[in-house]
Amino acid sequence: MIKALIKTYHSKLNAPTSPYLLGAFRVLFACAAIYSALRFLLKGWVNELYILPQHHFHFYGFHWVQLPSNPLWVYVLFGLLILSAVGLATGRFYKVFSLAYFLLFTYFELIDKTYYLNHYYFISLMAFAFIFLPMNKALVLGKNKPEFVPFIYIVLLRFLVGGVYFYAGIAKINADWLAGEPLNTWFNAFQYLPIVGDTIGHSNTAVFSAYLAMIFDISLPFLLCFKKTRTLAYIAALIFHCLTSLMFPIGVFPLIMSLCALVFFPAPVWEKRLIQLNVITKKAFQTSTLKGHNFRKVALLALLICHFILPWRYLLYPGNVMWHEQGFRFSWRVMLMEKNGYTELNVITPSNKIYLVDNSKYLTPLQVKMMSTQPDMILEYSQIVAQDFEKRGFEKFKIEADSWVSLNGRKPFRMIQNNVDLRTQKSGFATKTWITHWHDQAL
Amino acid sequence: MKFTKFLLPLSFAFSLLLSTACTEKDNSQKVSCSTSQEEVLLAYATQFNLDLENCSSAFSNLQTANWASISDSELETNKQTLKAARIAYNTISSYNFGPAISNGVELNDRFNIFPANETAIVSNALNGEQDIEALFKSQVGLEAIEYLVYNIDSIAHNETEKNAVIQHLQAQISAITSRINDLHSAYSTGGYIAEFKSNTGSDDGSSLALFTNQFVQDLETRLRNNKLRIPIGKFNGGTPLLDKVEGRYSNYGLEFAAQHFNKLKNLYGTNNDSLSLASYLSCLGENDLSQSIEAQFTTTATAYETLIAANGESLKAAIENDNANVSILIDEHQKLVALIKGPMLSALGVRINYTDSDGD
Repeated sequence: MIKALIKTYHSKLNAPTSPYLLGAFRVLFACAAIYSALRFLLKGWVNELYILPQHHFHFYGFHWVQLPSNPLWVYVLFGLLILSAVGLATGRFYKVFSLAYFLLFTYFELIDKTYYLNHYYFISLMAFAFIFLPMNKALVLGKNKPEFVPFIYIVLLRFLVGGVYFYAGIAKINADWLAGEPLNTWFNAFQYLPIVGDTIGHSNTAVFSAYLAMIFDISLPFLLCFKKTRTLAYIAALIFHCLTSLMFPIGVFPLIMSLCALVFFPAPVWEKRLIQLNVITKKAFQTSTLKGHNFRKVALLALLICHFILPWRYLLYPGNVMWHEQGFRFSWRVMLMEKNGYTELNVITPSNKIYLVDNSKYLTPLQVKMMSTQPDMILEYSQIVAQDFEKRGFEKFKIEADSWVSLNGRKPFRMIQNNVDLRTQKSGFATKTWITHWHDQAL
Repeated sequence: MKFTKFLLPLSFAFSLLLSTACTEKDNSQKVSCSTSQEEVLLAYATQFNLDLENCSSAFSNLQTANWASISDSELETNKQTLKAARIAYNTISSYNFGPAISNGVELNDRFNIFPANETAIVSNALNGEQDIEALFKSQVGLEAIEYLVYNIDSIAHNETEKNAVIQHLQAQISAITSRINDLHSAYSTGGYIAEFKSNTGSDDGSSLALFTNQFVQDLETRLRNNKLRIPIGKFNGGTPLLDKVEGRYSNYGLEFAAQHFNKLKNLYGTNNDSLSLASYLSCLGENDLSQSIEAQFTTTATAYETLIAANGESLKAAIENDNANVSILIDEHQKLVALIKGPMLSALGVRINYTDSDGD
């Protein structure tokens, strides 16, 4: 019985499937990647976010990822990133371009965690998956011989996309979110709008929206799987992404996710639409010539395991993850909190002279803002300052932080314990005992 | 039937989630906001216009003052006119957006830089330099004018030099007066009040974001850091830097800081105002926060009063003789910054220090 079941699943997963879903999705994703990169370039962010800052905040273990000293090379690398996305869209030299896109995009992401965004992480994951997914079996420029692809690759891609929504929904099951924060705070800012302002600003709207968004995120991957609910669910997803795009500055995230949700439509539907749009003509597929089938599956499964396990690592740390942020990144905690505050460092010499550190001497305004509320960045900042003071001839000094942070509209609380010398603290995955305990305060 | 089978366990799971979810915030206090943002913005723009008019008038007085061949008592009168102009300037310090940015240069980044570059100012003055636009910012503006007014006799050694210095002084006063008049015109006749009023929302670039960002920058950087922390030596291991006080030559540094602070306090307003940041916050359902900020403004104002009562208008004297109370004043400022920069901006939905970037 079990054997028969496994056999059935095995044959279903390896069933030859139309390659147009993967091919067309590759083109759409690459176009979004090109748009995203061009937008980044044209807004001057390469200069502003990468070249201008004197210091960058590195992800733990990735300090070796550095920018070239000559700014021209930064632009050259960014140009190569755009070129690789264009190559990805064409489908030619697929292995080279998919690998190049993954490496270059991830390289820029690893330069500075100040700019970490969930959707950038997602693009990195997708780019990694693209290396192993047979996305170049259809719609390849100059080639007109589509090949069947095994169905399992489409399933794996759906898991990757569905996981983002599902985990974003799970992350919303927390006291603040279900009490309507930070949505209530954000919605308040729209009270000025005529006609709808009062409704948006009403506290019940925030609570209702919070529950709706949580249910929507958790259920969307499942609703997209069923034929009866798929179209409606996709329309709901489009409306949801349009609204978030209008209300919040979240860049290309709504665009990327709107495109990605399309992978839940069956391969034959994609083929049918492409024929209707005169992009392709109906023709017989060739047998798959895919090599390294097992290796691809193993690589993609490893990716999915990371995708599904990493979000849970916050359970290893005591306290509120939104406060201490240990295990916060790479876990699809999207639009989950409103954190504001300030952090200043005091360098204290053995003779008890106190030097207050002017943040603007070391960091850009955006870096100051992000550092001020993220403990691991505060620690790294203290290391940057320590190096500078050492260079200036200071010895045996302590560095203490004066850090006050407001979470989801609460009054500000001290985030870093008083009298803790940050110079004696180590970066890493161990619990950061120098972060103050979260004393839950009613919102 | 199949659909019902699927729906039932799902509904149960979600009901369980909903019932176990902890809801802490009591939103029942929240009232519908009857004050429109446009009304608040209009009230502020009108206030800005009024302050700019007063400032413009104070600088006109300075410009029309008699500077040539004056007696000691007339010079003393002019010094008081300058003091009034400097205080008036401090009241418009946080209006550093929109028309206050000319050719990419902020008003505050041009005309209130201290300490002044004395050597360069003397050289410019003795040369009778008239092209103020061409000079570096440490050589122009209020501190440079004050240096010239308070040191004219030691800079000029003869009548020719004195004439050159006075010509340069008048050019300096004209440059800043002209800029303030232009800014006032942008409000009074240039339509900026209407533009400010209609630019609603809380996005980057909205009037609320422009104003509150400058409000925070004024409180945090221009007032707390530049006027208090730097001179007392907070960035310098505690060694006071008395040459870095505002109004170094007149010794009115504490009075300037206090007046600057009072303006910010008045701009924030109180819950009893019909249109202010305080009442707008209350209107948004943040009554407790609004009152906390108001209370902290009052505490900080008291710290200023204590210092002035003991030390007069001189910040230099306060740092030298009453260092502990200056530190207390700075600590009170710090508490205020935490409230304003954190929960207040969150409640208003405004991004601080916004640089154009995405978020999620």
